[in-house]
Amino acid sequence: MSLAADPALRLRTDNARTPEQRAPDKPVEWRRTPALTRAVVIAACCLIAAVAFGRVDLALLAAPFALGTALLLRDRPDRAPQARFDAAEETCAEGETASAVLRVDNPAPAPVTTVVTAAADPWIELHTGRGDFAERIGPATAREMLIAGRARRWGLHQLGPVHVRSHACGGLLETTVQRLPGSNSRVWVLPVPDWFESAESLPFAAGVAGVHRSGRTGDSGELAEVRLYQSGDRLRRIDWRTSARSQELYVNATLSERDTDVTLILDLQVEAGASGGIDGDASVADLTVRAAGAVAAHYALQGDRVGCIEFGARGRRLRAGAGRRHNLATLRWLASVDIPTDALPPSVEMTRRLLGNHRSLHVVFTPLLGERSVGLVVALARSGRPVLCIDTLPGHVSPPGRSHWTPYAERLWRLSRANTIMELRDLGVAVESWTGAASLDDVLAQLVRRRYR
Amino acid sequence: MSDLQRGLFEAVRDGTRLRVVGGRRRAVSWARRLAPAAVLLRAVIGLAYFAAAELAAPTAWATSAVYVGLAAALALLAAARPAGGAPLAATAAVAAVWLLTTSVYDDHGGIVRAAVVALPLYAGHATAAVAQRFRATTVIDSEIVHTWARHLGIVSGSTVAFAGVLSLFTAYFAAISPAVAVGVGLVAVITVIYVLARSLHNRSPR
Repeated sequence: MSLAADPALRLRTDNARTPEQRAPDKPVEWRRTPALTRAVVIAACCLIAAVAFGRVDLALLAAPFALGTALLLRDRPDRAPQARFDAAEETCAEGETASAVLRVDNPAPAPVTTVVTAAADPWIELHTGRGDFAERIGPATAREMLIAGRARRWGLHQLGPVHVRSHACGGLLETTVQRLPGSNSRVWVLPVPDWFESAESLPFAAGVAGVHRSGRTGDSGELAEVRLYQSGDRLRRIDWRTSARSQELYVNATLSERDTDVTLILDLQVEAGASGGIDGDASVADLTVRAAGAVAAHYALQGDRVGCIEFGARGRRLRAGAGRRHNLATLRWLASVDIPTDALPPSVEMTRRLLGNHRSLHVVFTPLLGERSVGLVVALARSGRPVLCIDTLPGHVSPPGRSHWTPYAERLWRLSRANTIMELRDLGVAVESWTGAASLDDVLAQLVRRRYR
Repeated sequence: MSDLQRGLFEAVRDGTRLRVVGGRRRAVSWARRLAPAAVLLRAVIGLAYFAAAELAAPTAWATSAVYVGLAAALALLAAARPAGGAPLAATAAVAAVWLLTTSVYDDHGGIVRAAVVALPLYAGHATAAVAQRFRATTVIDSEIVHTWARHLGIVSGSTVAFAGVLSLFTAYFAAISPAVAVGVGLVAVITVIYVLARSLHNRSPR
């Protein structure tokens, strides 16, 4: 989805020129083909020459043309077939099959052959025989045909337009082309997140109930302290060994386990690297979306509230939520991520205002390719929020070679970037490259230690 | 070489390499997607027109390299572009060669030879009509091929029967006067054209 597809930006401009109107599609109708003209011309010429020159053999040359044409034209269709094109399923996952259904109704009492030529988004690889095929449709029947392809990358993709043309009478008659736009057959391809799991607790767990160790006492297995018995303590909490040694009643006090808020901030200012889809190399947007999807899935499914914010031209926000349904909503939100080439620079202040809970964990997915990205991370860290910065610059991405100085310039730039990352770490920001499962355990442990220090 | 020249040279080299790689990838993809039935139909078109051209000409012409080359070129063109004017051109060329041959050589096979030429000519025409909107990668329903083959069989049988009737007619009524023959021929021509015109303008009888 681009900026132009945003409803807020599709308002009429003050341009006095009337917008260009697209000519309405002509109705589908039957017409003769060059083959019919050819057959009639050959038959007529040969027969006339046969009579003129008294040549029986020329009549024989004309015979199959006349006979075949008469036979084929016996069953002529009187009405043109009508086609309709709709998406079969509105969503699918990366690497799976995105499909749409083409239904062709043949009201005529004669069989027709329908030739279907479908186009699709470049990220949908049409299956062989599912984008360019010819089917025979019997008299007064309808047929549903599947147009399907493999979705190679997340996002909103379009199947279509589809061009449908029908033949009858052995190719002597054909319809005009019916063009079916693909606006009804858009498919959301959800990203397939990388596998991510983490055994570390998160700082500031202050919700109602969850899996993270909080700072408050309560019922759980995490030992907080051994203290003197007070009225109201449960008897099963009594620590009998300590009580026997000290001749006084002691109980084990435990820390409660609660949930927390996780806010994912996606830096979508610049795209770098060419995306190869699910089978190829990942670009910055690919890595950001898949990593964010993995982190969101992990925490949302274990009961934490996960929200998302775009740090980019569109500045979208997804409210925090937990559970399987919210995880699907997050994937759908991530699938509509777009990095327009003519992006307006986002504002750090505006993004900070979108942040809700001060005590939630802020995970910033950024390639650290601009001053604003670094500025956002620094601003969050200085405001006392726990920040985890995930470096989403793919290792294979490098600037295009413009001269023999390019490698040296790139090396200097990488050194400068490494320096920036070290400065961020000095500021208390945990910076880690995204490498999938358990890659964030160390930095999360650092964050928790810093919280309880 | 200055930096600017080197940069331009590298850009041109990279662009060329990208185009070559892209073209090769497209060719491989096209070859992988080739549909057997569509290729078969095009092969039938080419072979039919080539066979008709070879059968229409006398043996001395049919074996000459120039004639074979021309016939093959026309047949290939018709197979590559069945929706264009190539099938009509190929049919007209075969008919012209047939007229020329029968004018020069009196004993060029007679009615049987004419039937043998007419059958591949019509096979090429009917196949071109069916395949005119198919691409080489179009996957074709087997029922379409069955219908096409059935139609070709019916027309071939009828043509052979018609050739038999014509042979009998010319054998037993050789002494018929030219005026009567022309009259019968005119009636036959008008009948055929009338039947074709009616079938063009009438709705389906069902």
